[in-house]
Amino acid sequence: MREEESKSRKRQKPDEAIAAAQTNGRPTWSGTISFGLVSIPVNLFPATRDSRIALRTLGPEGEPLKRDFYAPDTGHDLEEAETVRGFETDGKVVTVTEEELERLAPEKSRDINLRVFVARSEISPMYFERAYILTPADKSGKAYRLLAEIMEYSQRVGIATFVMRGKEYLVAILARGGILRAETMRFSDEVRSPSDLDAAFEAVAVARPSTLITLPDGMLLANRTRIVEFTKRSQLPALFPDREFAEAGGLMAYGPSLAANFRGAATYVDKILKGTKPADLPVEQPTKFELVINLKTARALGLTIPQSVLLRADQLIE
Amino acid sequence: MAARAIWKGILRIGSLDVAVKLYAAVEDRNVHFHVVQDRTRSRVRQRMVRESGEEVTRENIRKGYEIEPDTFVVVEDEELERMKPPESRDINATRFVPSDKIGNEWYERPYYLGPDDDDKNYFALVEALHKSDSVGIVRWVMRGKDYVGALSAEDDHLLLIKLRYAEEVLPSQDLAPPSGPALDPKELRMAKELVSALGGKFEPSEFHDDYRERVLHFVKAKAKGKAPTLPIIKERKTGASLDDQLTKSLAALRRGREKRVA
Repeated sequence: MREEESKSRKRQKPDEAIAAAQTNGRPTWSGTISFGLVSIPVNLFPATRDSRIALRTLGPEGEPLKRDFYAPDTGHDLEEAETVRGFETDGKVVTVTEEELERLAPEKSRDINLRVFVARSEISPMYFERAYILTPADKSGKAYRLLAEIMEYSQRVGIATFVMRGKEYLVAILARGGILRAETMRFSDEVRSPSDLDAAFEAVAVARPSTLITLPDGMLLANRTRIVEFTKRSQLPALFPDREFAEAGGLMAYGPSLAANFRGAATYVDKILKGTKPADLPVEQPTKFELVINLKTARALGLTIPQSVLLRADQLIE
Repeated sequence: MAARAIWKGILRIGSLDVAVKLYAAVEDRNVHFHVVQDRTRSRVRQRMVRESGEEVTRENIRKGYEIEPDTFVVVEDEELERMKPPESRDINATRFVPSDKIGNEWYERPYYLGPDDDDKNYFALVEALHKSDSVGIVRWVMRGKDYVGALSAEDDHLLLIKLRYAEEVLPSQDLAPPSGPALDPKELRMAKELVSALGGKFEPSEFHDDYRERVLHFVKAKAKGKAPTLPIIKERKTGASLDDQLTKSLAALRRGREKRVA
């Protein structure tokens, strides 16, 4: 029954569906999408909407109130014409008009010029900010369908920057089911790196040590790629506590095997699942220690590892 | 991490519990303006007033929902408080889906999850998620609000991206793509060639918010008393046929390539 219902539901053109869903058929932005010298006029509509319930501010008798601007010195009400946008810099307030902001918007504001086409899987969804649907405008149907077809077939996504409503956006143009979509994305400086280790790295560079030893720590392990990159850049011979560092290109690692520890943990869990009380289980010490040496990194640092150490190693990475 | 954790919770996946800390992964870099009084350049203040202009002080303000034009149902603070979901530290995984099954429009806001004194389970989960190439759909309650999120592993850490609710996303099965006569094979071939010629890697750091930079530069110059001249916006013109545009684009790309070789 339900299936029949969904089959009989009429599919609508994107702009009609949006008009029906949002009672407002006006596009958020109109312009062109271009790649090479091909230019496709399009309209851009939001593909998402806010579902938060808007509550009004009321007075004690339940009467609706309105927001009012007033001057701090006189306490007098201010008309909109008496106010202006201000920006504080170096203790000074600079005023900026709408017109000035509009004229700061570059020529490309009317155009989404796809500079590069990348594999969809390359873009981390953490960049995604807001989704839109594009509809063809000015009889651009053919070029629109052509771009949608090619992008969907090649699993590629076009990347561009453009200006909409006074703000510059990084945007990905995607195709799905014959429909072109736009996803505005955060700029790289708006996305934080997982750890702010840069300050620690700077301190090391200033101290100019001859070697670096890191202690067992989950946070350091999680950031091993960055730490190893840093030691390579600074030509620092380094000793790490886990083999994962050497695998990531660190010079050498010595410590209990994490993999063996995890396997140990699994036997523990197995015993508990079979009914043993956790309190009855003995505390186990790691038994398997590993020495891993990355010979590629050693060569890059101009180091010769003594034969006796090489023989002692559990693994040599070439 | 130098960044401060904004919340602590416990990831519950089947019988595995992982204590985690939640960190914001985005930073606001927008240029913010204040409303200032034109004459004095001082920031304006706001107050709530009745239609008559009479001020209502903060302690007398109530909230209401407009059920029909000009008719409001008053909602008391305690009532709003009671409607909030019960407090919990749990982040519950409900199911796992292949990562390419979630459309771009669902993603809203990313957070990093860091280990909270439970490195072992944390990194075991990172490895497991990497191997399975799937994304966990999780639910949690934070600061009195329900959240749905996508849990994935990125490099050496866990990423949790808040997803939009179903009622916030335009259902894509309702959308019909534009239709028309079959596409010209020659044009398809040229477009394919053009797209692959423009192929490359996604390098986020190559893109800058030039407009934000320009606005900042402009206000700083204005503060020093130099009023910069502003350019006039030009419109891009289109006229040539699609076939013509594709041919010219490919020719231009080939010329560029020959130059680089020579």
